[in-house]
Amino acid sequence: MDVRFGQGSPWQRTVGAWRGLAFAAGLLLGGTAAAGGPQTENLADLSLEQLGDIEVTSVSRRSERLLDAAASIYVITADDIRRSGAATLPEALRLAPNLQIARVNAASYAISARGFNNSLGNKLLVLIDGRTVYTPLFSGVFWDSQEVMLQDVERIEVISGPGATLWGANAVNGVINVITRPASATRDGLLAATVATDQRAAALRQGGSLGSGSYRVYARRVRIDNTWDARHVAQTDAWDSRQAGFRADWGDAERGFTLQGDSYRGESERRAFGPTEVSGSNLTARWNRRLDGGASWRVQAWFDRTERDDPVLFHDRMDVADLEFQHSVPLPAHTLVWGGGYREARDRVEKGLLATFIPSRRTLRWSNLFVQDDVRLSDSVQATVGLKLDRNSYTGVEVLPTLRVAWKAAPDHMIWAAASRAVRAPSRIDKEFFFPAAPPFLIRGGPDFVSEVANVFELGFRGEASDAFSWSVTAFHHRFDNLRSGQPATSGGGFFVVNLTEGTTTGVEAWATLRLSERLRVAAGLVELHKSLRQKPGGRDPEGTTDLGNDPRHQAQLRATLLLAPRHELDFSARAVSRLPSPAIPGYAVLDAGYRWQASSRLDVAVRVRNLFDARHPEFEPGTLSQLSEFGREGSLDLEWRW
Amino acid sequence: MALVSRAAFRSGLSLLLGLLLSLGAAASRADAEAPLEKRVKAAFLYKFASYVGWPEGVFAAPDSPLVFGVLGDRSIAEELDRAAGGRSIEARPLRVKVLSDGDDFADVNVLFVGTGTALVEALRAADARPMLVVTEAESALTKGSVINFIVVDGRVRFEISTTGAEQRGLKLSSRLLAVAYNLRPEEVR
Repeated sequence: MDVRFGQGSPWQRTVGAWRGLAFAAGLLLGGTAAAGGPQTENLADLSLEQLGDIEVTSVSRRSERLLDAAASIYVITADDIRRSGAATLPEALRLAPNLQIARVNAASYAISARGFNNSLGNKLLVLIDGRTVYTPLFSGVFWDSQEVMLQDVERIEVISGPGATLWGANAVNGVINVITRPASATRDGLLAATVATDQRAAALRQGGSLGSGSYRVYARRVRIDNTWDARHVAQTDAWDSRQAGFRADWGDAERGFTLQGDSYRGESERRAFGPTEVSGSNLTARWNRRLDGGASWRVQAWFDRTERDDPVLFHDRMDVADLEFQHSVPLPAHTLVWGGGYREARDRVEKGLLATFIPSRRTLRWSNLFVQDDVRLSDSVQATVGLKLDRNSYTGVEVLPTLRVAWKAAPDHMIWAAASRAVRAPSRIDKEFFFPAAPPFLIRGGPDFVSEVANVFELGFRGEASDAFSWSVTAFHHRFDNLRSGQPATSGGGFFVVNLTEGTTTGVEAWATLRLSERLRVAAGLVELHKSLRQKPGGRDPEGTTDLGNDPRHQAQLRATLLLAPRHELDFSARAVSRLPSPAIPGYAVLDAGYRWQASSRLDVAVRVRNLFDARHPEFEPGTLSQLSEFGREGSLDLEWRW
Repeated sequence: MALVSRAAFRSGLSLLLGLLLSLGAAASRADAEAPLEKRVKAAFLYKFASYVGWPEGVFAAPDSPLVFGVLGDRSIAEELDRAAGGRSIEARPLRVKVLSDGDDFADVNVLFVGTGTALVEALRAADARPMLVVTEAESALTKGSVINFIVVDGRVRFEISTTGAEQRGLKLSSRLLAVAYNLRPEEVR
């Protein structure tokens, strides 16, 4: 504790960070008046491939649909990711103002939208190129295992709020949709290297033609050093991960086929009981076809194998296979989309030191059928009615309806409202988890555990006044029932997992981007979240409702990009998060800064400092047997070479 | 501790809001620029010129200027002027001419025919001269164009007619061909 206060109180440092930001922004604003030069100069320095990569219509066909969608959607662009210098997917996700991202230690993150955040966060649906990456073990994502080649990401769509009808169960609080570029857009070679004070990363990609199509192959390695606790003692959480993969595309939007796959391996520093090790492979095949008259269909199949050896918790082997079909039919004044899917997971868990799953082997099956109709009620009013029937091995059929209405009050302004029902279906951890690994058990999975249910109401405004200014504000109210809680066993001691918590979350998400001139762009975001949970009659969880996430009431971010001169760019990014209540984690604010120089059309060099004012802070409580990690100032040198 | 960080957060928030407001006020003076599509096309035009091998005798001297002629799209001409301004390609200074229908193309090396003019007329006038003709119209390659812009998935791509280039005596670098949207590897070889 004395170390922490020895360098000035958090208050002083927080204010210092914000002053620095305001100062920097003032400089930027001052600089604008003199600026206003053409950006075309800058474009002329890009390579042919890079020029072909620029989205020239402000929204692509698909994102145009997104812009019209009656939902709270933020799109992280490839440009945003490149500017941020993010080396891992969770760091890139920090760009979305409607997500709560907290780094737990070297490679673990707690990520959620609209609250309920913890490292076992389970109300978010995460997809990488259409492949669901949350584990059926606990309905959450092992963020240390799910990585992508960030240089090849086209965009990340982040939908806060329920997306259950189109995406399915688990999309209670949000959907993260990572979309990589088609192989035709990456037909060149690329080498990216990062040397930072706390990590080293290298990524290599080569693309080319393959018959009438295109392909790319990539390999990446990231090594993150041990983090430090408050006493400057190194944690044994260093993480070394390697991944390789490919993508091949043939055809186009009319008739296309895609095959892609990844294989990865990651391991932690050697710990008291041995390192945590993960590995896995996946393969996805996708066919799409557009028919005469505008109808289209898509079929996708994927297989995903994951292995996770955590000597303290458990050893898991999971195979998941998935098949999906979607058909879209344009009718007069309607667009009808319907489809279905089937997924099967075979899981085997061996007990670790602390925990076990009973039975150790389990096969889970999910199937679904959905229909969604976009009805044009008038020139400016559009309604979306959707229904999904989602069947799972534990609770049978869940009904997931949604109703959304969008009114284009003006060509560039939209008001929308939505009411949806979403569920978080049980996962193995709810039903079959036992702690410790041998009887007498202190915590037992709940044989009677049912789905957690959310009824969600949203109201949003969105505007794109011009290319230079766009904004979005969404108010939401989620009413939860049957939330997970613990209940003392009537006999034999210990606790069962039950559904005896209910409550609401209410809040606002807002963001805006502003292009002040060709030289200066600014983006700001804000989330206010008020969470009110209580135990239902009969509920006697000794922890109260604190297991249901540790969430800040306020969070905000501000980013600015300044083009100093052609090929020289300065980036600032600030974020502030208010305190987490239980366990208490103080609020913090940090400023990141970066300078990027496009030395030639082939070479990019960047120098970045994260947490410029060294506001050392923890972001989230760690899991069992670990200390709280604190994060301070880190510097990096990034190179990107194309050929 | 809690109080402190909340206060810190508030002050941060008010700073942020203040900033946003001042930025909003500044937004009104954002420059009016050509749409991004035109700027990207202009940048492409500039890039193309460095991937072309010209036949003997096209340039009078090693430092004779390389001339871009733009027909039927004034804003691309302006953007090209900005892109090429002060630059050179292999010691040749770059010059941009805005052309009108009927103008003489004699000294033009790279001709861009925009949608604002009659394509067939322009291509006829461009004849089989050693000139890199760039267009942005459907099936222009069959009418004598060498490079044609298309927009695919919201991005500017280009297709190349290798026969068109040969007829004009131009040698296009394999690097340019490799990026062309329409060229299959066997055609490149």
